Amino acid sequence: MEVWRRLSVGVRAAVRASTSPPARVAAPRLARTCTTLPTTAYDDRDPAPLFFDTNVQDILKRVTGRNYNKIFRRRFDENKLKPPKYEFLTEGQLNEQMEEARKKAEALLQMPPVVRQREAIQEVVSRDPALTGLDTCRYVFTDISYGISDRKRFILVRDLDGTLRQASWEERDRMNQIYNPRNGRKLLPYKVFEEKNLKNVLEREEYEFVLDLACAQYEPDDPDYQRVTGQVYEALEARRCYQVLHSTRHYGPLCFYLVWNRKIDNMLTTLIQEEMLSEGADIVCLYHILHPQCKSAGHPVDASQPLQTIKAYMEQDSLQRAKLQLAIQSYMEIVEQRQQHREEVQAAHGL
Amino acid sequence: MSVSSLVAGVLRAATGLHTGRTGARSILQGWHRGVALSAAVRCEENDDEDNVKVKAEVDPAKDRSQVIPVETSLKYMQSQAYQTTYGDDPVWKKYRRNFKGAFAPRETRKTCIRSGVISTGNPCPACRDEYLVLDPVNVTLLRQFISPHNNAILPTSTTNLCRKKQQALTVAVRQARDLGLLTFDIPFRHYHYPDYYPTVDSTSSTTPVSHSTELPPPSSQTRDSTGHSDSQGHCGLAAVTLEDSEGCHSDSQGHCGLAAVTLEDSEGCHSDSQGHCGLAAVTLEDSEGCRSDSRGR
Repeated sequence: MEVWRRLSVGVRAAVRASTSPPARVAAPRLARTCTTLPTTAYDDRDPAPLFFDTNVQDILKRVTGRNYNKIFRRRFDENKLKPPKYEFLTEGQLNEQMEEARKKAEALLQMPPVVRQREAIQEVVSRDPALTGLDTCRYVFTDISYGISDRKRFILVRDLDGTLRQASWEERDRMNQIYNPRNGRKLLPYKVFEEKNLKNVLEREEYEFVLDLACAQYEPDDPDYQRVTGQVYEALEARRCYQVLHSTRHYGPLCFYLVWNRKIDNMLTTLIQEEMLSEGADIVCLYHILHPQCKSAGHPVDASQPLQTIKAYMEQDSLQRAKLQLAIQSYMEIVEQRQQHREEVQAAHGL
Repeated sequence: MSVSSLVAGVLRAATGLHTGRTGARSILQGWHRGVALSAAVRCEENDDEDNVKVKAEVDPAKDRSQVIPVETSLKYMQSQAYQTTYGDDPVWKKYRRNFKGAFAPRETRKTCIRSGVISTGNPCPACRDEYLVLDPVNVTLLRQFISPHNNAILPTSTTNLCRKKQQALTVAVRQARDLGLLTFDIPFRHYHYPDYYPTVDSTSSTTPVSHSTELPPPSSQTRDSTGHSDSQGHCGLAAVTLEDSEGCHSDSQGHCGLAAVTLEDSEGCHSDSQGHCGLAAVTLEDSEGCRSDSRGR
């Protein structure tokens, strides 16, 4: 005991730490990543293999419209305005310009990836109880070499008890933003993403704004990103205003989310009312790919008869059959009426 | 001359104007005896009827000591009084700035309000009306100072706000944008798909094999003795001693990590249009040094 009392506090702590059973890594921030946040849609199955599948990507890109006025709209980003340029072009030059514009539009319509929520990092590199009491703060070591992706950097933390561990996801995000700041991303997230403010923004129907901000601020596998996007998609689903995101990069992930959660009935109804039947058929095809066990999956898909595909889905897998049926019926009636009108006009003209 | 007599002289000169001879003498005595007497001196002065200051009468139109709450301002913006005063124009539209000559000074005045009172003859649009409160919640007012063409805050050359109010406006607009009350556009964020799903190849059209998308934590890359980097190649944080003859192979993404490079050859570090030697401590035994490729360091 005499010897024990003569040792310094730090050494005593070190001896106690080394002889006692290994303590769990004290990581209070880690609890935030998984336990208290609500479960999202992408918890049970991994959506990434399906999202990055070529067929799915093709469908999602086809379904997103190509309204160039919306894609190339003026951006309110405090940049100085440039006066428009008017040029005379030959037909060949015009076609070239149109091709370039098409490529630029494709680049602007790149969809944010849909991936599974990330798991908390719990890896310990080494335990050095001899370093207990060295300092009153943690040390974070970040590899700032140029050219490494932010997701693959080494970021290590030396805790107060001497444990050298991999940094948690929050610490990683913070360090990456400090040493490698991104445009539009803040160190402390925008207050928009808090519940009260998010609700306010969604009530004002600023969906694209929130989604753009979420894309800039968070990584796609961040639980906060999935929470925010989930809430926005649910708000859109409740208000049935899917066309707000038409011709934007967020339409694809929106469709993917709704199909994944089997909530496409309202969307199909809206598409039929807008007479966008091929898009409706595409959504049903997507449903067949994401849920291969569904009853209408075996039904042969005919590209020229999109209404048949939607009908097959409605008869076998639809959860809100009545509304969809009504929409299809009214569409068919409208088509009949138009045909009749056309025939009458032709008869009146004597053809 | 001694220090105390110097100090006494200074004190006499300084206090002679204000307190008169009796005051100076008592202060001097206080200086010699300690500072404790100064409070007594002050109390004596306050009791003196001749020296009681009369509180200056403030014109109520110029009094800005009262802080108007935001809710009042919000109501004011919808009221008839506001409509009569400003109509549909922004509040700065009909304000005219006063200055000598043809060209306005580059900066507006520092502030219109000093000690809670308007201290100028022509206060700026935000100071002249006390019910215009610059707050993140007061979005209708903030929008009047934001350009409708590119969402930028209008400069004082257009709005003629005093510098203090321009700063308050900037703070309020930034807070409103943070809360989402004012919308704006941010630069486009491009995603590098292979970062999120490693088997995605932008050129191939085959269906990718389903893999776990969880990226291995960075430390799972083994650092072997030859220091070969893996497909994402870098040598990591450590001081790597390379024993082979070819040095640090860097591949399309390779680099040598965080070490300082000591090269024994005469050619130094081969770098190309992008290359540089990074921050690592790498001792290379070969003659070619750290061969970098199109991106390597």
